[in-house]
Amino acid sequence: MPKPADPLSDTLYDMPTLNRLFFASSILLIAVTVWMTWQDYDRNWKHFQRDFNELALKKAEKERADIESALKNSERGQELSALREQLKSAESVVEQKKKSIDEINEKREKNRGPMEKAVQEFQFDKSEADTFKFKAEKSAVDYEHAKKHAEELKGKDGAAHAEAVLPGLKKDMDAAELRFEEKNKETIEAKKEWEKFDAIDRGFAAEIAVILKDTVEVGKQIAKIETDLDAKKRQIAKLEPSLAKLLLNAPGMDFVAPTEKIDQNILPHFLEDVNFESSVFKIDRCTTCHLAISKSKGWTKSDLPEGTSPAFFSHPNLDLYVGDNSPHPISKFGCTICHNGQGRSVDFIYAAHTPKNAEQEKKWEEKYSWKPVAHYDTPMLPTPYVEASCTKCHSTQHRVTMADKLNEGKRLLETVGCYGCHPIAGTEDLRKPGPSLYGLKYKVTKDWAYNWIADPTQFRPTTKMPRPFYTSPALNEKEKADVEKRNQAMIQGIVEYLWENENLPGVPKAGYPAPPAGDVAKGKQLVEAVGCIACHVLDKPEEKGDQYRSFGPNLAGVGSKLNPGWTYAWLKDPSQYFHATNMPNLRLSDQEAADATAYLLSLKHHDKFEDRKSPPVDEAVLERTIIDFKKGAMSMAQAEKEAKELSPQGKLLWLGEKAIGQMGCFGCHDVKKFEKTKKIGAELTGSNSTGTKDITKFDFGFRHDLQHGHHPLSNDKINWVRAKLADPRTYDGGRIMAYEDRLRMPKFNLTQDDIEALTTYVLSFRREVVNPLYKRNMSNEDTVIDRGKRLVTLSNCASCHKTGVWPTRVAVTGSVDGENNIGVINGMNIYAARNILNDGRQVDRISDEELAILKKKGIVILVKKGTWLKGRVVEDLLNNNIHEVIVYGENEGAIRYLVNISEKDNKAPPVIVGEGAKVNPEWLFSFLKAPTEIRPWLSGADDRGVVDPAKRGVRMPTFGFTDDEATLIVQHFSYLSGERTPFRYEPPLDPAAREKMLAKGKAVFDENKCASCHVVAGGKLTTDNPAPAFAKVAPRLQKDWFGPWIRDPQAFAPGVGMTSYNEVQIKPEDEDSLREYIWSLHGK
Amino acid sequence: MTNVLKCSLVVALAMAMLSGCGKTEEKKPADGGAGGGGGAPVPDNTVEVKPDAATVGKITVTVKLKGAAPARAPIDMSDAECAAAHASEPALDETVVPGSGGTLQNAMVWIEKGLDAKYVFKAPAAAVLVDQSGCIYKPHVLTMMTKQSIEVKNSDGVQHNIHATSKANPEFNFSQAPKTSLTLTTGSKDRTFTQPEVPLKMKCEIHGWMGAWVGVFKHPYHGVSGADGTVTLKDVPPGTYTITVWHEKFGKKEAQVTLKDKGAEAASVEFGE
Repeated sequence: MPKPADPLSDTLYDMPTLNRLFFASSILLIAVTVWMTWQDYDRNWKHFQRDFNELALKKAEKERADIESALKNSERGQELSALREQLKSAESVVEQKKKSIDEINEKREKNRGPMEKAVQEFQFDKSEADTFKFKAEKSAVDYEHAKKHAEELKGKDGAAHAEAVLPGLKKDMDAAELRFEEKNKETIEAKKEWEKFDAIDRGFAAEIAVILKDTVEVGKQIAKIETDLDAKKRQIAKLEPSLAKLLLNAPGMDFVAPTEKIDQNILPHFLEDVNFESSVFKIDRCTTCHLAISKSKGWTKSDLPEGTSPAFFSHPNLDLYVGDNSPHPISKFGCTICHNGQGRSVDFIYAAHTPKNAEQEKKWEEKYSWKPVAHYDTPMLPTPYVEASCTKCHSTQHRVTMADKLNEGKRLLETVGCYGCHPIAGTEDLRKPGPSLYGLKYKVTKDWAYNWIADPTQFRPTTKMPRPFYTSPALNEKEKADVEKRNQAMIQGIVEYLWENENLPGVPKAGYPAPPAGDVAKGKQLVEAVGCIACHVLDKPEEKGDQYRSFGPNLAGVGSKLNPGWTYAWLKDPSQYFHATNMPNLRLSDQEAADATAYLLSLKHHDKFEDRKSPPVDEAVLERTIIDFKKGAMSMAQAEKEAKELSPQGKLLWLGEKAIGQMGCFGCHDVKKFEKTKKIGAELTGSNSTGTKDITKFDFGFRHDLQHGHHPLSNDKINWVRAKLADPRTYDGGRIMAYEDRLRMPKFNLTQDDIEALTTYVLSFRREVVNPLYKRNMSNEDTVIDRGKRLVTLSNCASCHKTGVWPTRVAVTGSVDGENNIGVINGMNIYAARNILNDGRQVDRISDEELAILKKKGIVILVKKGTWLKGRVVEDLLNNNIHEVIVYGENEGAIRYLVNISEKDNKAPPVIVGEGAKVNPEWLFSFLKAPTEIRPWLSGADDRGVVDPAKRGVRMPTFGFTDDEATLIVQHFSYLSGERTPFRYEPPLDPAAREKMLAKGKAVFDENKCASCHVVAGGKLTTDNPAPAFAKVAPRLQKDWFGPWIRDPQAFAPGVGMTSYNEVQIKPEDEDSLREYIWSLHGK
Repeated sequence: MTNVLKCSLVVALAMAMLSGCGKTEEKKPADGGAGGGGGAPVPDNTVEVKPDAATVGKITVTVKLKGAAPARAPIDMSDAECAAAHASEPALDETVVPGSGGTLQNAMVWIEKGLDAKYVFKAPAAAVLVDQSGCIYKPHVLTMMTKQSIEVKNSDGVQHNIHATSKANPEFNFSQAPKTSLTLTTGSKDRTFTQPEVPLKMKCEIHGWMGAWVGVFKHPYHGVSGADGTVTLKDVPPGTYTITVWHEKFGKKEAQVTLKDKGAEAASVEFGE
């Protein structure tokens, strides 16, 4: 019952009401405080840590159970139970002797009292003695000082006084010394007393130890077997929840030493740009939740129970990333350098996780209420595109090892020729992607050219030529009709322009003369044998071929395209028509070229492309289009006037020239008058690099479906690039615009995989300053190898030859650095290894001492078990008990798999892995410039020089390398083969000694029947598989190479017909003689 | 955890063995004529885990040949001595060799999938034989287990070389003097095969027609179809298996077989054009 207001009160308000109000508000305040504290405390990441802890505990318990059951079932388990039995029996023995132990203990106890007393006596005596010792020392020093002082004062004032104190001091000194000596004696006595008791005590202890000996020993053995188990038990104890942990992690207490805490990785040298041109160093807190990311064992998806959060998986490639021994340890590189995202955030959403596909996005939305982070420039790259980050640090390389998708994207970009229209840094040295059009009219017909430009895939489904005049499905029907009509006029104009602007020096006005008559069947044999199929697919129009066989165009149906005279001239020397062509000169004879021409022209198109005509010119559309183009630069009236003044052919020529400029044909092809025109596309690198370009600068048109985190990928930029590549003119959809303003990027013939790879590569273009500490450090050798590799790729060498690095030999050794390491002899230095060991043995298995020597010299590298090693994992090798593994080069040489060549290995092109160590650099240079015959049987000629087309094999073509290019290739192979000595002096042999060596060499040569396979003048081959002539060996081969080669040719050139020779067949001491002899066969 | 233990055991064993064999390497090969060397095999300490003998059964696979068997052409031997070995009766091409009753010989048969991974088998102690006789490999097709020794024999009076064009195993190619024999083991210089690989071709570079096909397996369930065109896989534990049949000309075909306890199942595969 509230009281009425007291009129005498000096307050104007009602206290009880206020009290209630205060009560309510304080309750509210408490509630809010609790709520606030809880909000602050109950963080997302803590749940992850708790879940992880629970998972780890379960896992550890299961592992413990596994260890226990494994122990039970294994030999060690049997051992263990035997030991336990032993322990039991030992213990029972001890039990029996319990009485005597007790007796001994009793005696020992009795002894202990006097012993402790003696110890105390001794300690007291000793401390007293120490005191006396100090006093004696001090009084002696005092006396000496006083004596010296008195001598100095002799005959001076105070000398008498100084003399007077001396006897007193001397007395003190003597007394102190005496006291010390007495006490010291006592101390020694006391120690003796103590030692007496101690000896008795030890005696008792020893007696007990003898009785307990067995139990202790067995116990130790048991503990040794159970180390794993004990470790696991300790781990479990650590993981188990406890009251202490609960308190340490309680709200308000957790500032002291919580077990749940944020883990962060600070990268002081990697700076991130923030606003206002300032930068801060990177901090990654990802490991706060990704707790198992660097765990090497037991945390992969398959190790963990179904439904475990992927946040708790270990990194899928620890050999390469994250792991301490990997090239990218987490301590140096963190996470977001590669993955992007907000490393400082510990919240799932604000860390800017990006789902890799729509399915994952849906899952995340349900589970974490996921949404894209607004206004954050670099959200995480979805996992399929992470390789785009490699170039941040690897921009110094043309090819990033292991980044297959990125490399494929780069290869595609260079092959389909994106750089024809878009300026892209790093492509400046490439030739134009398409062939020259200077002499097109000698090569094809006008009708063919029209239909080809209209849709190249109609003729060649696998072509790399994009379709320049295509209409996006995004346009409406009316727009499509208009665009298609105008496209037709544009193409007709282009063809007319190309035909009028012929510019091919050295070709007669009437075109190429007709070729000599050829034989189709012989031509087929030639084309299939001589090496054409390494770069071209011939018979299947739909077959794209791999990277190697799609290098040149698919030639199916080429007979419906080419002019015979042109074909013949082209085959004889491709560069006369197109100076920058990739097609090498195969040095065909006239007849060979005629046969090949006949065969190629017999390959008719599957859909009669040759019958397609160019439609009649629609004059009205032609004129309208010209006016529309012209009016941009002049008045409408003027444009109409000028257009009408043009002759019908003039109109076509005018529009043709305009069309070539508009569509950018000249970006890929040499076209007359367009030699110096600027590329038409936007620059993809530099200040507008796609990967770092602001998302607001991408024009999505009406494709809202690609924006704002919509499916299919929640990264707008990636969506944009993918959609652009799939349908380059899609952003025109729904727009009202003039024909000449429409998007011009042509439609490329790309598969979904191609688009993914290209997207990855395009995203890798970034404008970003990275600390040089992080950049891949390239030595001169690395650079030469990298640049050379590019030239080798651009010349398609790998289609015929097995290329790459030397076979790497894995030598499994004992325990040089503990059993976890194994030695890998870097195959590059296989000679060096052999020379250093100096006993002529192959170094596939070596002793620990030898390994130590080689290791010191840097020839052997020790790798940890489980290390990634050129595609194989060492641990795997060890577990399989493999003693020696030879890891070959990077590709197998595509042509070797083609049926007709792989059957007979000696018809296949040689393996060129290790070529730099095999041949002399001068020879290789001249061979690259002008190849000469090394394997005579490949020409298919018999003894009289008559060629049997069926026996013909591959032929090294002439690539027309410049001196610089040939030099680069030679250096590339040298470095790749580990050649490090540019010059070696060889002292001449004493003539008499040489004669002796040659005689010995010849004997070994004959004994091993070398001439039965190798071509030697006067020799008779008795084999189905001939081997190279010795006449050309001397300038070609390096002498060092000979010895290891004859011991194990297959290690150098897999599949080679040469047999191995052991130390009994060719004695190590005869090796040099044999080599001298073979070298002496030069020219014979 | 069992695996981890096992692995470390295996590694330790491997280490022990290898440090041992580094020393035996010093021995000169016993056989002078060939490159194989005569090293003692590395002791195989594999702990076998065999199927329960009480439940095992057998699978009989018949390899059939569709249509009439093609005539076998005589082999054109360019070497006079080789040709002389077949003076009375020409050697016939062994690519397609029909068996009795419309079957096909020289087809490899093996269990491809379905075998429980827990089983571990040890290679038989006896070596498989590859005999070069009359400039022909005998047998033309053979199967063996990993680490099983191979006896390579040259019964001819001419030199041969034997070139194993293996991919998963280290390749070897050595010449072999007339009338010699040597055994490749896990310890010899040219080692026997330690990795499963099928098919693996052996050939002679001197005599282009000579070729033999080898299948190397981790388990004992394999065989080559003989004169009756069948292969019987014995002591197979019950289970559902994918059986692969391979022929050098016709390629691979598969058959599914479910074997019950102590069962006996039959399957057949037909090749032909």
